[in-house]
Amino acid sequence: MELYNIIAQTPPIWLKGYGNDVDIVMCSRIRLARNIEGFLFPGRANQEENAKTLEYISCRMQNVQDLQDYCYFSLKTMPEKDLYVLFERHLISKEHLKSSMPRGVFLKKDESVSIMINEEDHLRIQVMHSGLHIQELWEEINALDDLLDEHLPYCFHEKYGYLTACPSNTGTGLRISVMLHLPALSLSKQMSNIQQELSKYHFCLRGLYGEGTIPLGDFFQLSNQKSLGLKETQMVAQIQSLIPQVINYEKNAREKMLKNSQDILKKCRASQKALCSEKSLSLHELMQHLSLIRLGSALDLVPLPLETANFLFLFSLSANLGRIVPVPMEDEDEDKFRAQVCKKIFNTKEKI
Amino acid sequence: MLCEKCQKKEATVFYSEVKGKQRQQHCFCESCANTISPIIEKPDVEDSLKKILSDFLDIFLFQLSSIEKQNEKCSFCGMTFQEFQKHPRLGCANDYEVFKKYIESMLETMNSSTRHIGKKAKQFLQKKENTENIEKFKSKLKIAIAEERYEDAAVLRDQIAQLERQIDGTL
Repeated sequence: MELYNIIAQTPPIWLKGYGNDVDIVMCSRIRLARNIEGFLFPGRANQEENAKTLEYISCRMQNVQDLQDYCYFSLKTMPEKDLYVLFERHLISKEHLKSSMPRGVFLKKDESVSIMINEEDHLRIQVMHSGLHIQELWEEINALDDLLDEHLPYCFHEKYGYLTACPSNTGTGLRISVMLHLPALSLSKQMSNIQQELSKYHFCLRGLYGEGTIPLGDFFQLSNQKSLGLKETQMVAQIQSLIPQVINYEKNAREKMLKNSQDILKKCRASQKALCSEKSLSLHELMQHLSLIRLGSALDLVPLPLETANFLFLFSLSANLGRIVPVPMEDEDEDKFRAQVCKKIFNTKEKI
Repeated sequence: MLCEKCQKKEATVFYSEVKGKQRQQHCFCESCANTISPIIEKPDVEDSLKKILSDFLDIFLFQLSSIEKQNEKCSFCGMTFQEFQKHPRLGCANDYEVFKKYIESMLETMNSSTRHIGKKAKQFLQKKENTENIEKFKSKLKIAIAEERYEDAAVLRDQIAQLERQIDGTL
């Protein structure tokens, strides 16, 4: 099945920009790590063994009646640019993208669910939604996990719980992540204090694409670090009580910023001008401008719908940009095309 | 500062007494402190020495076990302890048993407890229940044979076989 008949027609559901405090909380995501009994973990297995695991899992999953609205893609033979489109849309991880092993992914058409096979673990199940909906996400992923559990024998230990390749995921295999836009805290240089505060509760802030990625344009990912010794519902409750605090810190920083609104207005206008007129924009530059404009929009200083900002956010990333400018691009060309796309979006969708 | 009791010797023992919401500070010389209350704890030299020795022994035993562990190897995935130390990713579920002590201490460092209290895999629970039932049926089978109730024994034998097939995944 053609990948682009299934996905990438529109921005994914998690970038729709709805829900409470959506100017700060872009989206939330929950993933579960699971392994299947009787098979070597993907990192230890060779090509042949991984191919067997992939066949076993994908065949069983394709026969599950309730998974009929999912589409399966084998990644081993997928062109690299398509893999990057999936990665930028958070449908596969960096490790899954880079692997040379037989591997695959089951996707839901609205891009809210992806099930990676042969990532670091045999299964990485993830569910994403726009805004802050952690409880709903947990209920959805829990039901999906129960369904898979009926068809696949999970590796489970009486004491340690779900067994995973990395001991940091052992236990629940659960990671809850919330994608946050924190420009006021970044501009007022409060991020390191926030990081310290969060680490006391065993939560951490990472770049947008998780472990080992650099934050781009004040977009961060907040996630739990512990996976064992707590119930999944306790972990959900913990992050649910923590996020409003982070939101409040950002809101307070924004209020303080508004006291000197001329200064921030000047910065927003400069960024607007840059996005409308620059001939070349690197990803880093664009993200910085986009962050300021998104902030300006939240403070009612710049009239820009959040969905447009989110659309720009996704389609300025290299591979997704390549989807709208389908010509081979060198790095320098890419920056030019990015600037062109920005101009087009700003001039057609938003008169500013 | 002089001892508040004898007012002669230099005070060397200090403690706070909390009564209701009030806190009182006291200072005594060592001999007066001994006569006042057994609850005033003085550092015990013997205990400190024991602690040092026990810490030393722990380090020694850990190093000794590390040497032993170097020869440990998982029979299923072939992972050695050295490989795991170099790159702490496990090769299969069996590694959790092979490198149990080491993994346990890792899990302890990363989490507040090493016991999973969250949801449990359904097939695992089913398997556990089947194993327990097999044991029950086996002891019933023994009794049935001893009492020469062969029809009951045949039923139990079939039940055991069915549960065993379920565990093997052939049913």
